[in-house]
Amino acid sequence: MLRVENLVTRFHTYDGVVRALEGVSFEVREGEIFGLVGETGCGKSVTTYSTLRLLPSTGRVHSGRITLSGESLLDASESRMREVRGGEIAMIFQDPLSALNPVMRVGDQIAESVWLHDDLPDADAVAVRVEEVLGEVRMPDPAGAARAFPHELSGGMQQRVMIAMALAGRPKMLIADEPTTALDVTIQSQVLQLLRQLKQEAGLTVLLITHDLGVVAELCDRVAVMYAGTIVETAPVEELFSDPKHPYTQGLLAALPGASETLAPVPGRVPDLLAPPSGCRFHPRCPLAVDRCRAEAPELRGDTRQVACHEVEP
Amino acid sequence: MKLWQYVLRRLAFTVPVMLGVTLITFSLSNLMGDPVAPYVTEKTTPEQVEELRKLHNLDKPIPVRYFTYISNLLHGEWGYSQQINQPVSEAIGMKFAATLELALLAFAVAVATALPLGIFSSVKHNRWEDHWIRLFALFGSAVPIFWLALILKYFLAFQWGEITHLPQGYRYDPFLWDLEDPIEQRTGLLLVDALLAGSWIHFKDALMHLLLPATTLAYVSMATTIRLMRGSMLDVLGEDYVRTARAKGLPERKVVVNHAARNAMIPTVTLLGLAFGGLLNGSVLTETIWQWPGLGAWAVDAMRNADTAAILGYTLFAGMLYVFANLVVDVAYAWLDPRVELSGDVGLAEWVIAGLGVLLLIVTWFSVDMGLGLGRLLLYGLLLGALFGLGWKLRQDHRDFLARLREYLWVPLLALGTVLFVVGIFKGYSTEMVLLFTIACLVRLTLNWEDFVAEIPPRRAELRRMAHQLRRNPLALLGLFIALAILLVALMAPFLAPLEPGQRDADRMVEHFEFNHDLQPPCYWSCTGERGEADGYILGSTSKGYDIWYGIVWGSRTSLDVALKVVISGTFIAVVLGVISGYYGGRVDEIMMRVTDVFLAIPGLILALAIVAVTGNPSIEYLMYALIIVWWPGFTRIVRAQALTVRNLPYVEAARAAGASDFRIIFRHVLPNCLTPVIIAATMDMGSIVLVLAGLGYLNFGGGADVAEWGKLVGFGQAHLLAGNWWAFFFPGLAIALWALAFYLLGDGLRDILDPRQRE
Repeated sequence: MLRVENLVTRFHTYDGVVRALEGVSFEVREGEIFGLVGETGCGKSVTTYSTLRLLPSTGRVHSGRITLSGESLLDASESRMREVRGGEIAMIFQDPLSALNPVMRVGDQIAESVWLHDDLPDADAVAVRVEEVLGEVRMPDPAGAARAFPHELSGGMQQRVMIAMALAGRPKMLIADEPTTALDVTIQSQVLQLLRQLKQEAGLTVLLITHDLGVVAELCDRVAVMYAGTIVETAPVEELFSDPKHPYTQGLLAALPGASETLAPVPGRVPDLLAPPSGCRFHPRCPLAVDRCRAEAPELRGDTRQVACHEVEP
Repeated sequence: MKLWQYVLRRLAFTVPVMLGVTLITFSLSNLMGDPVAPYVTEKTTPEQVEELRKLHNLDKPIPVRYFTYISNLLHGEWGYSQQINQPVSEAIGMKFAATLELALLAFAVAVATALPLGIFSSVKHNRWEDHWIRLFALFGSAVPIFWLALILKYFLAFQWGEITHLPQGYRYDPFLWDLEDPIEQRTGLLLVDALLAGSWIHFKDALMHLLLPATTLAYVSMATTIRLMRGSMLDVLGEDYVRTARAKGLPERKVVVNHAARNAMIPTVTLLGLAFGGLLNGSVLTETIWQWPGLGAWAVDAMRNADTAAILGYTLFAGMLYVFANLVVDVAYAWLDPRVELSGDVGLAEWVIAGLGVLLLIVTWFSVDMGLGLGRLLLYGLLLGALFGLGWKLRQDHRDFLARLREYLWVPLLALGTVLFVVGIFKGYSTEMVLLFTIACLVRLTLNWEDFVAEIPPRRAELRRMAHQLRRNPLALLGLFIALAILLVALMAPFLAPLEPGQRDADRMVEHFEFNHDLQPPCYWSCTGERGEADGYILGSTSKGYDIWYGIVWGSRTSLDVALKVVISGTFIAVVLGVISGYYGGRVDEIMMRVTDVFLAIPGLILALAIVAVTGNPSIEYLMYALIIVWWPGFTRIVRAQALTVRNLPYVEAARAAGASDFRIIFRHVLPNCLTPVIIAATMDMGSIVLVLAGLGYLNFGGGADVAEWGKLVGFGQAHLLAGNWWAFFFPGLAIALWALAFYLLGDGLRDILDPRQRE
């Protein structure tokens, strides 16, 4: 459904060119929950902003293709992009309180999406639709919630509002950018459950961005692991956990508490994207690294399981 | 809590502030010298003098007089203005409508144009549209309002008056309104009256008269508002909810207007009160130039004639207006931002203070004696309470009380040092003081030489980045260039405009004004006339033959001198008070903030004018005292706000947890992190102090006769405006504008460079 091929995005800052994404490729299939996992700063969010063309003014997509059901998004006109945003791909963000406009009533913010993407005759119909989507996200007392300001709701309720706002445009796909990171653990599971239910009920395709492998295991169908602006491995979720191929993925899983007797951190540090390592970006930390890794960046190979490593077969 | 309850509560809280303002005006009235002196002649007998003193209540002790003053104020007896032979309260009532009409129109124009411009500018961030709007806004803050008014008056109302049909002053055409067709003036606001009477001719006349004064006045407030709106828009545009709105598929225009602008309005509105204060300041000068029959022009007349009752009445009234405007702003803020909790958390102490203030007023209204009694009671109660508190503390930890006292010994020492430093600067030892300070810094540096050297390499990258930022910021470079040029002029003054006894003597500025009649037009390049060198003046002369070029060159020294001294000592005071207040918080902070509240309740220029007028001492030293008194509260607040944030940052808490002493924490951790806003504010204030100084000078309170000062030069230069003498006010005013512009540009640039949030 959503195909990203060889995406290269760079930021032009005073300190130099930040090579945030270097050839990212993945495909999200219709009806699945696709996870994009990686450490903070590895380019997960930049990937989604590139997709919706919402990069800040310093960022630019240099090359690559992004297609939504065959239509190229990088070549689409700005007015077409506005239809896509919220209408075909909706997005929810990490911290719902700061992502909601503090001076606008929740109902009005949802109504905006409805007006934009739904052909409804009048304000009454919009109000009905707003309450309907608030009901869809299991909001207790939808009418009351619509009249509230964001700060009057709890964190979980705020995230429900965000999801309702995303659903209001009847999108085919939802990008959830770390939707549970800012929430308490108990509320996290509620929101995750809601996402799963929405996928089943509305047939929504979800691109879930997270650094939390627990969330991935619980929710996703397939996963792509990102490291320093590249995708290092793509796999169905069970296979990823049972048989990680890429050394980084292995290290990541080994670093999970409970994976082994002692915690095993991945040695070394995340590279500086202003001057990324040559060749494979993981080679300075990689236990398998050989000379070739320093010179040549590996390509993502394989079919259902893809790995970008010279030393490992998919 | 309902909105009206909130309003009521805020009203109650203004009472202590207003009481503080009356304390200021009352002390000013006591500075005034002997109020009886004007009535005393050689023939007055001692008995009659005694009689007079009794009549003016001067035989009573000061507290009695203060409470009599309050009681009189409450009963509407604001004194008697000798200047216009009218009770002050009556005069204020009569003249208020004119000022209100002018100020309201200017305010409306300013806000209505500034908000869209600010939004537009932020959307075009760092493109040429943005640069032009920023320059337009900065220029608005930098032009002396009286200069702008004179230019508009000269060109639009005089030179091209035939075409524009704009009047050269006053509020209406007396012929039309008083003789030909008098209409009922129900509100005193002429535009409204004309509308009520349904007369287009009257409306047009009033509007034409309002047009230029309102434009003059509006420009300054507009400039401030543009800058505020642009700044908060830039903050808001980076917020998550703006991204949400974009991700929703909203068109950019709607994102900006419905989401960003609504939120950016909130901080802007909170500062609109400040803009209104600027408007009151500006009205004093604007009204004087356009002969607008309002409060400002009346106050200036009163100041020139040492009409104490009128000066103090006006000062108090301006304070009340300003406090009221801020009240309106607070309510607007509560209404705009749903997150504001109307009930808020107000400490018990604040309630008690407000309640006691109201009680004191009520009691005084009924009887002076009872008010006095209550006042005494409160004062003694407060003292006793403080003593008791101290004693309680002593009892609690009497063992290490002395040790702790020693730990705080640096506070009084620091205060003493600051006082010595500031007094030293003003008493003419500024070079020595600066030298002393430099030596102290050097000693400190040599003691910590290792640390200093160690810090150079990491700092170098930082400096390189700053230099790069500066190069990319053409406006800041322009500011730096102008500032350096002016500095050079001030340094080279003896060469650029040599002293020639008799011809070009600084002392003769006023003398020329008195006797000489020798108006010379500028001769720009070649000034060697038939009668030799001194015949022509490059930039022309005033109507009395004073060389403008000479005045500008030597005036740059005055500006530099005053601005530097006021800024340096003001910064010193503010840093000491602000850091202590912000770091310790609690009671100390509370008291400090209430004191600054009181000083900030009176618009700056008006307070400075009142101080200078009332002391009746025109020397530049007194001007500087007045400027310092006006300046320190705002400055202290900036530092205090910063110290308050820094105090709660993790590294300060870590230092405290590591057992560092307060002294060490304040000077090693808090102070260095407060410096950025201080540097920015100090740079900006280098400009604004000269603007106020020039305003004072323009109104003829510009230091002694022997001081060349730009504002004073403009004031002298306007004398023959209607004879076509434009150069004499134009060039000195340009110098003021360039000066202020330079430091505003520099300050703005520094903010961009030093503020890490702006990095890209």
